[in-house]
Amino acid sequence: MIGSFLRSAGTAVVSQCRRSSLLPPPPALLAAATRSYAKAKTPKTTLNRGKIKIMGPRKGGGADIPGESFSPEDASTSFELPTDPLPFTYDPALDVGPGGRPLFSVTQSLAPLTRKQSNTYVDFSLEEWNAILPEGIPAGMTKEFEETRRCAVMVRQSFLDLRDNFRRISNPPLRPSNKNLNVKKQIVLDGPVSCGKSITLALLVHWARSEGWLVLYVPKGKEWTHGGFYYRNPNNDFWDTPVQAAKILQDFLKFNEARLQQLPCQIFDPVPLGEGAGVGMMKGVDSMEMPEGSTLYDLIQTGIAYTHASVGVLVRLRKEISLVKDIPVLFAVDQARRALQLDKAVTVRSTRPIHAKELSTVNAFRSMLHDDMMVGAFSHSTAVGKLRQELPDVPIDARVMLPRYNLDEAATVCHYYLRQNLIHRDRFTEDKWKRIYYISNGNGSEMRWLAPFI
Amino acid sequence: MSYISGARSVPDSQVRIASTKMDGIGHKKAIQVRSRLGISGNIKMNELTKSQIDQMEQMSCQDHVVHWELKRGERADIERFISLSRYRGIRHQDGSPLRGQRTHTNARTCRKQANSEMKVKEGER
Repeated sequence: MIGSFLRSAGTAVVSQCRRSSLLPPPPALLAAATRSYAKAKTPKTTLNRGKIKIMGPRKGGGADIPGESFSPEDASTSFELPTDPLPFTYDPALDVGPGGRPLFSVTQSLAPLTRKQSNTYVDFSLEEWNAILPEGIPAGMTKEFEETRRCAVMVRQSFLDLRDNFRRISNPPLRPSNKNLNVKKQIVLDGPVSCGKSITLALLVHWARSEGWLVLYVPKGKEWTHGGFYYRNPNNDFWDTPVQAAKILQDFLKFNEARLQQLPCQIFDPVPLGEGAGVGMMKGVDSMEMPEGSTLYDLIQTGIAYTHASVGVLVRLRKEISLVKDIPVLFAVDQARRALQLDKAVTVRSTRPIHAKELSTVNAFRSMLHDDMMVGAFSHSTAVGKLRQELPDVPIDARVMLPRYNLDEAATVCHYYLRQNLIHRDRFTEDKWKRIYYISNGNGSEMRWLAPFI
Repeated sequence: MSYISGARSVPDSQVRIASTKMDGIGHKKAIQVRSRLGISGNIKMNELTKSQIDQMEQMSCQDHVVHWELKRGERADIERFISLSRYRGIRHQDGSPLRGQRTHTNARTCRKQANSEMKVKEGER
């Protein structure tokens, strides 16, 4: 019952974003306004939304065809996004995947997707993505959107397995089964380069937020260890990063503000103060008490308002979130286990690098030996070398290797690129897309780069 | 535009680059000063507070020879060579190269610098 209430609250937020992102349609079209692509056979008056002014496609494949010229008007006509109602130039007959299966799954959220909808694309607008992920969209996803000129993401079986794993944890079935024994609360996503770790994590966060969960999403873990000021905490052996802590609190508040106003604080110890960003220690005061009846929202606002308290509040928030039992809580950290780039002065003329575990903020969220749901995604683009076999403070079975595209997924991807005119329709054959797949070994970004060369 | 120990610093420049504009502070010393103050590499000058800039100046002057002290030391060394009538002192006086370079040709830079110094001194008179 609680799950259905949370789901309705979550989808209400998502649908509000959808409504706010669309202009109100004329009254005559309200009855027919539907996202059913198969029904759009007659031309209708269209709104100007969904048109994108873009540059032409990459010239990898177009140079050989004689007499073919590209104009910006062709691009804007070809790449109109489907809207409600559909623009008359959009041809839903082209939304065909391999074997004649539909290429897109029409859905409001990722919750109702099943195995039958794996290897299909879900299409949300950029406003919806930014609304559900206000902390930021992963770089790989942004690149995919820019290159394909459409904000669609493929739903893979690996994501569905991950989603079902957490769904079984939050909503355990009445009858025990073998699947329940293999549920994992803490997961580290690992895999080869460009296999979809960040996108899978973003989709998981999308699903969790639409289900009404409280999610702390960190799209760029490297920002925790990069930049800003760092000071030695006099009370312990850790280093404080007040600027980063304030930013993390602000990001957490972006999507979860309404929910945090309803959650009361459960720890009443005073919050320790540290050195502020560029302002030194506070004189005569070394801790700050939260008034009785404070909510998590008040706690976070205190951390944002007072730079001396930002690190203490963030560490306290980690403990407070663990005590939240009313709603499911998920920690999602991308670019986890990233190398640090700060130096500590040993003497006047020598320095040594500071380890990530010596930072208060990282230390609070680093350990996975707890009972909370946590997913960390390793990033090859921000780390040096591979992930170690034995990770400290991580359960032994937490590592999940995400595979690269298999043949079926690669077929769907190539048909999607064909749909988005990255591949010329005249020269698209099964042999050619398979060649791309085998050359790139299933690497998603390489396939996207090679697609125009068909 | 602000000044740190007599060196002009552009507000948009990063601290690790702006601090090298000080005489006597190079890349390595800039890293040492930054790490002692807890400033990471991508912070810009306009993000620093006045107290941090003062701390940076104080730390640079305390632990390293910078700015006018460095110049004074260099000048003192040259005058010592001159007063002792060492070969290097005579070469400084003549405005000729003193590190074993050839003078039959080239040596223009050294002579140009010596001439410009002489003109400055005449102008002061």
